[in-house]
Amino acid sequence: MTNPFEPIPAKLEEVIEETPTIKTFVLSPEKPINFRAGQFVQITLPGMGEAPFTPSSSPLEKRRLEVTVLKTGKITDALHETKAGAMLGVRGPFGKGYPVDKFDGKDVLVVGGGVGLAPLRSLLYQLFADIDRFKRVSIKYGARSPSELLYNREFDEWRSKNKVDFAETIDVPAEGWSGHVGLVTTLLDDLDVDIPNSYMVSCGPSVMLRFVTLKCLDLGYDSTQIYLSMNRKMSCGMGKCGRCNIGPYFLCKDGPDMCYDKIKDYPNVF
Amino acid sequence: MSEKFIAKVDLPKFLRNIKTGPLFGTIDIDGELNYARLEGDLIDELSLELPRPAVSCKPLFFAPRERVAVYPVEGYKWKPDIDPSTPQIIVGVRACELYALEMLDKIFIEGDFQEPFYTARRESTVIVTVDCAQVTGSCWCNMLDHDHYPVPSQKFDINLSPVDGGYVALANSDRGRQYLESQQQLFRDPSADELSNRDEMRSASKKALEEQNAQFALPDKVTQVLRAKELSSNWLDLCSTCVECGACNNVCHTCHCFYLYDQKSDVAKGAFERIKVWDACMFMNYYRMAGVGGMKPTPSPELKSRFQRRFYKKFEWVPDIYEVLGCVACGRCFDACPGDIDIRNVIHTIAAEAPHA
Repeated sequence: MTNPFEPIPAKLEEVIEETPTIKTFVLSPEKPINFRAGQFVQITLPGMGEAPFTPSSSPLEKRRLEVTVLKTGKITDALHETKAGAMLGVRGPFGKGYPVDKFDGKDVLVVGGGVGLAPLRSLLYQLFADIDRFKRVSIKYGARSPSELLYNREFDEWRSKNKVDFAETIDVPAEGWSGHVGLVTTLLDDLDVDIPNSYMVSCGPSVMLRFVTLKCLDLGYDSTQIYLSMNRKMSCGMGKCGRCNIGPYFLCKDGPDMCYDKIKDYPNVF
Repeated sequence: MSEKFIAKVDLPKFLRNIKTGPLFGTIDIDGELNYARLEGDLIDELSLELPRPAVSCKPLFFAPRERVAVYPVEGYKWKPDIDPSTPQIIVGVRACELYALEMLDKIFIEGDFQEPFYTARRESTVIVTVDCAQVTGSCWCNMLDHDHYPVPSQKFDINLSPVDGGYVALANSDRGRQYLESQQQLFRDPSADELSNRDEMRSASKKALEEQNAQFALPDKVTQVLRAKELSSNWLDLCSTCVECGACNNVCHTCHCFYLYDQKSDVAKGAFERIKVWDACMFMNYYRMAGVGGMKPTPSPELKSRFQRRFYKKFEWVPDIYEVLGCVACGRCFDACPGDIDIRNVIHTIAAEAPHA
């Protein structure tokens, strides 16, 4: 029997500074972590503990694994101080991942907020690699300020892809910014998507998920067409330690991306 | 296999003869039963007639705190602290504890991942159960239609029913039958009196349960009561005396929450280790997550939500996922609660307010 609590050693190959508060950590685990887009891993910082992250790299890339991390607590603060060459640990993958098969022949609306674009990038790489399967991929992304726009070096490439459109926004006006200003929900106002034949996938802070969901329901999306990356405190990753549930669903086992229809009637979803 | 009789004086002898590893059993500490490790003379202190032990046998399967990994040490071999070739024996386990173990099995053993420590202990433990010849004032298993004595569909090795002068023993597994056969010199067929004595004892306990719980009687099954979503019940009132100590979680046989944390290793130089420790939803930090201020990283951390969740989890969500109840009605949470919160009263209050079809 294997011990599912034991981390697989993983060398930190590179640290990419994305924004003043976000870094991407490129890892090479000793054993490959074969994840599907949306599945997550527990990253061990030796002696400090673990925190869950959904990889931001392509699920098709087997040897290297990237996680993009916002500096926001004990583990992530320490991770941000860690330099390339250090040994970390990985457990996983855990969870279900995005229901990509359901997206066949459909419009896929991807809505991200802040560091929430990280797990979505993994999905986007997979969608781009197999773009013929889908009718169209529409990406809406919002961040607090221009300097907090994650992966902006890749935006032009995404925009130029066949069957893909991309729009970004910042929350409040900023000097030197001539693009769209307003919360990410404002990008959904003039949506060019065939809503009855579409799925909406979103990741971002809880407040944003709530308003994106309300907006999409307003626009005519059914709750079965909405997939949200939900966040709860996770520890084991295996549906055993008990606290990451929304109703009878353990996010670590049944999520972390949940169909809104499944969770909408349970208390304290957002 | 048919039932056998063993005299009370012969039971310690039987246990000494079959014991190859650790032996645990209930002993009387100031009028209350508690599990203890029984070695030497302490085996003679085994006590089975009093009501169910104050603390369940859960810690003997799911340790309150244990090391689950050491890293990064090459060649470190993880090993649970139990060896199937010298099984541990637990004597005095009650029917409600078997129901709880059945639920924990579903969480820790079934599914895509196995919890290896629980699984190893479960596989290498011999369970000797006992009928509840007496009940505590907080026992309420009759309200869930659970029996207060083990039934053969449950997973145990040998059951003992206290009767005059000894016990009627029933083997319920191959291992249990082997133990009884190997020690047949200590057993004889029970008399008709002894069997009717057992049935009378069972009826008397059932009557006591029914009488003490009549005031909490529900119009429907507990699950149906909680399934009524739009409850007007005043959860804030119900948890007004809760001090968030987690005692209910700690004594609960079905509470399975734990948390992993890492530290410098005690066993390997220069290495780190991962510790698994019980967690409790009544603790304020249970849900607490890191996050950007103002972004509400932790959904509904307040006591009322956690308290309400405890009931939904046990009576609605666990039945939804695992098809067993998440509460076994042992009443330990009420006994342990410094705020005197009676789980029966909570359910009764909600039932009174719930709309009934």
